[in-house]
Amino acid sequence: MTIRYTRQASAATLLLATAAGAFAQDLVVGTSLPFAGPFAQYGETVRDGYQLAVEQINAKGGVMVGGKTHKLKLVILDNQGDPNQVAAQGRKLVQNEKAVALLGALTPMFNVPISVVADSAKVPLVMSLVPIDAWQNARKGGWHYAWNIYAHEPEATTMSWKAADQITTNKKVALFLNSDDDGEIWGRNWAAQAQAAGYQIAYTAKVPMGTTNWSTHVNGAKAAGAEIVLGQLIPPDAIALWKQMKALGFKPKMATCEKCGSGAFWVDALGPVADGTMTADVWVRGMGGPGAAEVTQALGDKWKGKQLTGAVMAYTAVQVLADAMQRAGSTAPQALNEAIGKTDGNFAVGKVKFSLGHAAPVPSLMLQWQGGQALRIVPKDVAVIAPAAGLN
Amino acid sequence: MLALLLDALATGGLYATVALGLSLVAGVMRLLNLAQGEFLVGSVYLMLLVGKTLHVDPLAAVLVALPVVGLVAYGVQRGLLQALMDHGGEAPLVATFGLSIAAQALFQVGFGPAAVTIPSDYGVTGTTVLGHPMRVVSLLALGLGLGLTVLTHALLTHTTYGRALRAAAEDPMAAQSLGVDVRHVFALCFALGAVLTAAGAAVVGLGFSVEPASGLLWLLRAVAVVVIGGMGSVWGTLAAAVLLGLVEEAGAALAGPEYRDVIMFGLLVLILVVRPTGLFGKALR
Repeated sequence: MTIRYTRQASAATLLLATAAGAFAQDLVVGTSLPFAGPFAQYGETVRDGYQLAVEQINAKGGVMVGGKTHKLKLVILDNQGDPNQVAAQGRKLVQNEKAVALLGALTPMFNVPISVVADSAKVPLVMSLVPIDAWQNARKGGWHYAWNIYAHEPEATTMSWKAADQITTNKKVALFLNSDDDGEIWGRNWAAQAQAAGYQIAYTAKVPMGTTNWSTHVNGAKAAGAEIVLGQLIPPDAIALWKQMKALGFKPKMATCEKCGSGAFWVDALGPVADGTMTADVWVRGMGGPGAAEVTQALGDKWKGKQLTGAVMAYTAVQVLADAMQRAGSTAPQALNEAIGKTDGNFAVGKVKFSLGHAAPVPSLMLQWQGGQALRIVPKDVAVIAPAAGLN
Repeated sequence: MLALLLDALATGGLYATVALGLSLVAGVMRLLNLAQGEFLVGSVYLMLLVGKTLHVDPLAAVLVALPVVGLVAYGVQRGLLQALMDHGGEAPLVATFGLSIAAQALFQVGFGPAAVTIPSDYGVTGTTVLGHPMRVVSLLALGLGLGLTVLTHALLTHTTYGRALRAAAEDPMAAQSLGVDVRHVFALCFALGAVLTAAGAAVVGLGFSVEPASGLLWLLRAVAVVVIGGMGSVWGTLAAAVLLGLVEEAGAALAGPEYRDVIMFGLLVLILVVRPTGLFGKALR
């Protein structure tokens, strides 16, 4: 009886040990995304990018960490577009869900609070879709466990001048900015670069989010003789601005809209008025490294313009994290964090190397909406159409 | 100066159109409808749906949408709020808050998260008034604000329903004992408030945009107008809307647009301190 019991126990132990080796514990990766509010459409694109990457990694067996293969388990919490919920949700992901790493959302509004959680909980975080200076300036002394892969504003804002150089204008520029971190930093860079680039800032409107009446500013920009409009606005504000520019007869030869003119929703909302709008980006169909084609194939019909870029960047963030887990051979926070910092390779968006503190700058490019498609004009795939067709 | 005044009038007209329904319900039913913004956003979605389904002009879609919104609101009041009103003022207030959250979730599922507008030339067409370029949609807002105020005032003062409404607002028990069907009158009032809001929604949809959560933005502005004007005061709503439009435009010109909310809600607090019943009294006029 004793012998029989011992044999059974040994067999059970062996079976459990084998199972543990074959089906190692899932590694939880968590994120808090906005599925309501002005950024909700981006929350969905980022979610799609994360889910696709995790599904593909798991379909190939998972991530090899310290000799064991682990599946990734993605936990997504909905912050309802409320940045005040992000920190609490981040802590919940770490404490309750036992997340070994976090993924970001977008913009400083959401990515700064999740970065604070990462640093305080000492859990590595990989993110994108937040311009580097806007994110780094939020933390004096720099981030320690948070890593960002995206455009660097001083380089991204030069895309506007490179696009403007292709058009004949009077070089007078009107800036339309939200008074948030992005608006502050993009506006500062444009203002600092304008003279050297041969342009003059003729009018600046800096307004709070939720602005509906733009008529004073549109008439101001018109009176200042501006032929170039550079915008850094949330979509609802920008939609109202574009409608009011059109209605009030302000006909700039060039109009860019960062954050706002970046997805199919821009064309859906404004119809022909959207045509000719430019927007800076870091990726476009046909570009990129491993995985970019898969993202385009899986999500290219669903998302256009910068929204598809959002999915590619999210996919890249998961790739970078998985790569670091494998190189670290561990999910211990410090080891994983150090491995992320040593990332140097090709991913969906292209080359990723954290060369600017905890940030990996991705080269910018400029797109223009032409006939419902966001096409690259800098570097040149197609010629710039000027004046901005929808506003003229 | 003229440009500032015209812009302020246009902004005031828009705010009056959006706030009139809230003011009416607040004055008659003593209920601050926290789902007011969602009635506005939902009306825009409905107009979009009608326009796309029936392939009609946006203004025709508005005409189709108005009675539908009124019917829905009537049902909400009779089916939910009326029963709660019997238990005091807090329950229906909380219920409208719940409706607001539920409606946002429904919009998100039904229409997606992106900002949408009613596609129409009305929203992107301009004209000149006294040499100042203005949007047609701004003039529409101004006309609607003024016209709906006059119509609502006439309805309240020159019709049997208006008299019943005012009686129910003054003393529901006494009105009931005199043969007024107070429940029906309140439900009609709620429906009328929603229809007025839907008229404002047409302007918002044509000239601006909405997304599932943007009701709060319009609710806050409407509340500011109603509190400053005095709950239930029809002319007070118009006057407060124009005053807010003026203060907002002048404040933005003098102090900078970043102070818009500080100025608007600072004025709200100031009025509450100096005259808690609003500038134009507390009774339904």
